[in-house]
Amino acid sequence: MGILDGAFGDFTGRIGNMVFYKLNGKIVGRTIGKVDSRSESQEEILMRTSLISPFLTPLKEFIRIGFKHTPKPQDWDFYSVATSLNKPGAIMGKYPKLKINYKKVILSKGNVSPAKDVKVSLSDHQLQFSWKPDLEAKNADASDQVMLVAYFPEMLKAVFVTSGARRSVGTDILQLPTFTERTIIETYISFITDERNDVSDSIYAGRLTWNKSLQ
Amino acid sequence: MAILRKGFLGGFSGPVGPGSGAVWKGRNILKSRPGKRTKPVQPQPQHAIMDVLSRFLSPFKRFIKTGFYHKKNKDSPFNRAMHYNWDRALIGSAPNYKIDYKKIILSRGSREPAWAGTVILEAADQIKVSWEVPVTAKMKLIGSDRAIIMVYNENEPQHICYSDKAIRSDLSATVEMLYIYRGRESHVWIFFVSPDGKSVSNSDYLGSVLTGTIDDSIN
Repeated sequence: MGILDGAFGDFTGRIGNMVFYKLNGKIVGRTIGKVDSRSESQEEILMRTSLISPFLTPLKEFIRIGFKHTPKPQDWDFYSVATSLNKPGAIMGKYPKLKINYKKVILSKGNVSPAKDVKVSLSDHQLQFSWKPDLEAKNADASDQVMLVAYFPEMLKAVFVTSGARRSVGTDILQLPTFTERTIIETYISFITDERNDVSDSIYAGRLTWNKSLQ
Repeated sequence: MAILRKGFLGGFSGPVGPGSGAVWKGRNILKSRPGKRTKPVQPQPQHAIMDVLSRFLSPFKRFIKTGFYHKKNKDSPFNRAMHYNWDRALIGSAPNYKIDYKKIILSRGSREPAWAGTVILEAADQIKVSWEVPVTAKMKLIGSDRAIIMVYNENEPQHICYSDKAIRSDLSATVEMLYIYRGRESHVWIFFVSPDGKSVSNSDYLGSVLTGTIDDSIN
């Protein structure tokens, strides 16, 4: 039975096959019961979610920092921002052949000047990142610290650093765990201010492959 | 089992003793229990999945209890484990399903998983499992997590060998195997659980090992 809240004119409860309730301060309504058929566009959204959510889960603690200060509606959190940017943006192809486009993934968003001329090399379980400090750029400070991500798409695992070397240093090392098999590594780089109140946009630094022959 | 939909004031649905509750034309009614079916059961694909998967998962039950623990959900951890592996961890087609050991998931959570896990045969019936902790992880927070290692062998499917004493900062653990495991591959999984048992990592398949191939008398 739906109950009419007289003061604001809101329903709560069930009317027919619709149910209304409070979610994050808003009254929402949805149908209740089993869904036996979905349209193609609904299936596409489900597939996009099933691609992007296992990708973001191991990076959760990173995007918590990366989207902390990004402007967002009042009832959104960092994860809402991450999905709303990456679910339409970082997936390529047409349904049902959707794939994650690792080049377009965004893991942090802010006003700090992003990294320039990023180079990554792999040697002996270490990722060597280097960038151009470019301290004259707007919103770039020598005390900014680098944030590095190495993501392993086959294992659905990630290694990251949220407070690395200073921007003025120009290089940093990300220590990787040892591998036994051929492993693909996707890398990202971004900056955070010394006061932890802003971040830069994240930059895709490239794909590397770990092989046994590298040893 | 009858379920009381409206508490003790309302009608109920399902059989209780000789009676059975139901809703008929909007009214709650009580009728006699239905008779036994006379037609033979038609075998369905889900019967085969249920058989294979529940047979495989049941010896892992005590670890699935921690691995799929969830405070809010009404279903049991074992139910959740069955549900998660149902579409993912089987190969073949009805009625000949087989377990894909690489894809079996025995715990799900957001804690730091095991990195670079390896299995080696230490003695004839003893394996050594080792793992790494990445430099970027916060060892102070996750160092005292218990490592849970489970070993399954088709020779003795009712019983698994396990080790749940080692902690993450030990970086390795040994598991005693059964003599009966010799001759067939033993499959090894690992996951980590926080000291309070509430936060777990995803489980990882570490590979398979053939016991009994080392001769103890040489050492």
